[in-house]
Amino acid sequence: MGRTNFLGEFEELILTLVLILDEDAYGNTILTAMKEHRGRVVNLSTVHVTLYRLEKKGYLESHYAGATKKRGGRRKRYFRITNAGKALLREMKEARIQLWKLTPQLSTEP
Amino acid sequence: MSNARPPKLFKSFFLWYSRPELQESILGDLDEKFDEDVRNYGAFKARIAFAWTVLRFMRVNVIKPFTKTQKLNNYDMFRNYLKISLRVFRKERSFSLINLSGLILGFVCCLLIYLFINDELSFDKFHKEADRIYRISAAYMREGKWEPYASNSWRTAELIKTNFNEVEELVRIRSIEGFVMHGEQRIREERIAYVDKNFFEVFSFPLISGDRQSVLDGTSKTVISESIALKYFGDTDVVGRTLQVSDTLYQLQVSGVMKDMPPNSHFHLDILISPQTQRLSAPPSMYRSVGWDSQRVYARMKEDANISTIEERFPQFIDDNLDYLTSGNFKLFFQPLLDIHLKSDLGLELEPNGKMSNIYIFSFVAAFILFIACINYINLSTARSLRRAKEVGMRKVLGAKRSNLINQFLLESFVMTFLALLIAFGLSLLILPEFNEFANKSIRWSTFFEKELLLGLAIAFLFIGLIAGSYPSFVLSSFKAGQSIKGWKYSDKSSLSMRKALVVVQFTISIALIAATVIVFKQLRFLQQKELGINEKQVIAIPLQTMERAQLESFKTEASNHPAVLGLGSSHMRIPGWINNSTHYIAQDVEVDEEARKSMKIVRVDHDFFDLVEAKMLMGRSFSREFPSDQNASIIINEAAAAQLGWEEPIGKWIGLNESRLNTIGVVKDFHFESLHRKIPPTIFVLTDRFLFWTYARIDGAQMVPALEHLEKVYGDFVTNRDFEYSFVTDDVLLQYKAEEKFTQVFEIFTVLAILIASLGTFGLISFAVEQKSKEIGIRKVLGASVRNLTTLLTREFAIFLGVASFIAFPLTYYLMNEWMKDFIYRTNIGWTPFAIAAVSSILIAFSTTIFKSLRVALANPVDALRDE
Repeated sequence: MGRTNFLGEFEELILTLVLILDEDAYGNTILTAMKEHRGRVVNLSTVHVTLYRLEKKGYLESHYAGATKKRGGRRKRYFRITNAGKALLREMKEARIQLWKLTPQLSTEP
Repeated sequence: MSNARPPKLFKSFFLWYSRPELQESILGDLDEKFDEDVRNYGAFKARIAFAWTVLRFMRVNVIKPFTKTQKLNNYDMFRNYLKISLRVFRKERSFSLINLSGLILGFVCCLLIYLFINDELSFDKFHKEADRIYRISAAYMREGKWEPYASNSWRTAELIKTNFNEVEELVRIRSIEGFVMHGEQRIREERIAYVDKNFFEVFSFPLISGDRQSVLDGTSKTVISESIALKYFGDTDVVGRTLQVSDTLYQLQVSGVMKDMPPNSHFHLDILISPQTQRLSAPPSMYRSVGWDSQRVYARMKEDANISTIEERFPQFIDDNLDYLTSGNFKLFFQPLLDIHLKSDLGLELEPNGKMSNIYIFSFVAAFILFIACINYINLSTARSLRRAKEVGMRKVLGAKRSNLINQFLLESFVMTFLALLIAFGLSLLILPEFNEFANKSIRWSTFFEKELLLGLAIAFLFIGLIAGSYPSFVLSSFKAGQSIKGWKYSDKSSLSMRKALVVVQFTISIALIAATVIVFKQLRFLQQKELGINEKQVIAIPLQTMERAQLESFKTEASNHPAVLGLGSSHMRIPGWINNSTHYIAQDVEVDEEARKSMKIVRVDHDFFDLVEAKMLMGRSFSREFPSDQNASIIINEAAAAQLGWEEPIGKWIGLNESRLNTIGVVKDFHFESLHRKIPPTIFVLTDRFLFWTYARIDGAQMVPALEHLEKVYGDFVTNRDFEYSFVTDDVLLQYKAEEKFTQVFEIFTVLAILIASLGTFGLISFAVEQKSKEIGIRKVLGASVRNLTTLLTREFAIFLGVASFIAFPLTYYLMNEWMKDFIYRTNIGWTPFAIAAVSSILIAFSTTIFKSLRVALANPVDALRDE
């Protein structure tokens, strides 16, 4: 299926976070959300670069908006998940569930 | 805390390295995060985090691909510059062509001079181990001065070989002239030589056939050049064939064929004859006498040989071994082979050599011409800038920085330089055959494509492009945008005076070159036309060759038995020639002064010689048949000899030569037997009827052909095995100054070119001035100025330039040319004429280049000039 259909673990995480943040996904919010939900601290640059990559692969799209004073009058680059991105996430989720189903069931459930 | 700022340095660093399109969002995020960090962790930590994040952002996708985008940008700009320069070129064709042709001329000159110098410097470098090969030359003490010769005796060479074990190989060359006879052919050849058998061990001339070591070992063996083989046999595969050289009287067998000696060898021989053959034909005394300088001696020294210590040992060697020669009157010295062509100018060189001073002079001239061409370019482009002021203004308005404009005009100059170089290159290739013929060189086409030359051209391109372009671009880019668009007239005082200074420099060089050319020419004329002290007009020289000397008198009688032959007289010397026969003497009333070691030259003549050349007797009488004792008891001396002896009353005094005392019967006025490169030596004339080699005949100029026919017929009766040969003494005299003549011609050509370039520049400048002042002229005309007034107005400035230039050029030229003239013993005085000629001709040139333009504008209808606003 080629390289574009493959997502790394970190990419999948970012993509999911963008989905979660819905209309408010840009560099800083994603960084905060990651820390909040996953307790994971990464560098802003890592987030940005991954976002660009995902956009290039077609799972994200971006637009500029929302300049604030804090940002020195610079606009934010908002990211939004594309349909392809959603489909991929779903596909990956289902694939994982499928795989989980194949694991031997633990004998005793509490 | 809100006043905390992110570190500026890192911010601008980020701006510098990152892609512009990413900057907004990233910097925004950074700022926002910083603000948050400051609140959470404090300013210090926030700043560190900021810096760290900026550094972490240095990722492949964030960093701008600096090379690619920038190049693309400039490429487009450069294309625009190129387009504009081509358009300007087309629009102002005459200006551009003047500009271009100046550069082309300059480059052609320089290229050719470079080729010439390069060739001169390449002499003899093709020999293997050339740096270990030396010529051993000799000098004799004459009149208190060492007189150096390229020659040496066979015996001296032999003794050097046995006494100095530092000598690895030693080879002797004895050059002769003679007829080569093969079948029906009988042709005079001048490049024949007897050489030692190890000739090819020392010199690396390539052999086509024959073994290098043994090819010249054996009686009657000869090695001939390819062209001689083709000339006589029509083939180069001729080993074993025979031919005869008149000097040998034996059949020579070709044992090897060599390639023709390359043009950059300091000697050229076509026929080499083995040493054993020389034994058969040369008189035994040649091998015994240390004073018979028949040979040129070359030695390859061992690698560890110390040349200067060997030279220090020479005086002892001379005193111990060389018979009557002593270290006081004879000297031996080494000349490195590689120095011979340019630095050696001794007596009896195998061929005339080049001169180091000419190399320097031509380098200077080349530099000057290139300099003039550059000045031209600078002047014309700056002058033309007026028309481009609007373009510059427009570019500035549209955001061009000064550096952009400098780049543009530099590029333009590089384009022009490149074009000029390209055309000059092609042009030089085209005129190479003519140049070769003129400079007596055989430079090949392939030389043009040698690494060094191409590299040199590349360097010249960058250098000249930069020099020529830097000033115009500096001036042009300094225009103020607003003013230049409004049509502000170019009137920058400093750059104007700069251009004026450049024109003065151009004029100075041109005037100096004109004056120098006239001086060089004057000196040449002086050498060619100086009275020799005899009447050499319509005198022909005839070599006696194999004529029985006892029959000489009857030959002369029969030869003069024709109305067109006015007389004959003989000498052992050729006029003009080189008197190499000199002697020590004792003389009456003269203290023998061992220290001075004075000597005199001896010339042997017959009874009629002085009458024939119309030499003037100052005292006493000439040799006469009425005094039989003249034959072996009388001498005639020249003025120089009388002066050296200090004799007031020479007649009747004796001079002792070889144990016999001879009476002085006459003093002859000094006349030039030798070329004017040499001072008239003190000379003793001795009467002889045997040791004569040349006879001279004065013929009636109106009956030249019958006289020559008669002489040839009579000559044929007396000499059966040789052809009649003759030459006019006046021609031979001129022949001696061939080198000077060539030098003069070369100088003339370069001067003409320099003048041409300079007048192109002048023309360009006057055109500019006319354009500048067209309105002024229009107004003046309206107000009633005459055409003459206006022309004067325009050309006056150039007259001032000329004046200033002359003021600088004249003393400079006088000084330099005076130095140059010091090389000549007999020299003309520089006088004022060269400077007058230079002044007048430069005025004429400047005037003729300016008058046309100024007249045209002065004659124009003033309305045309005034209406355009």
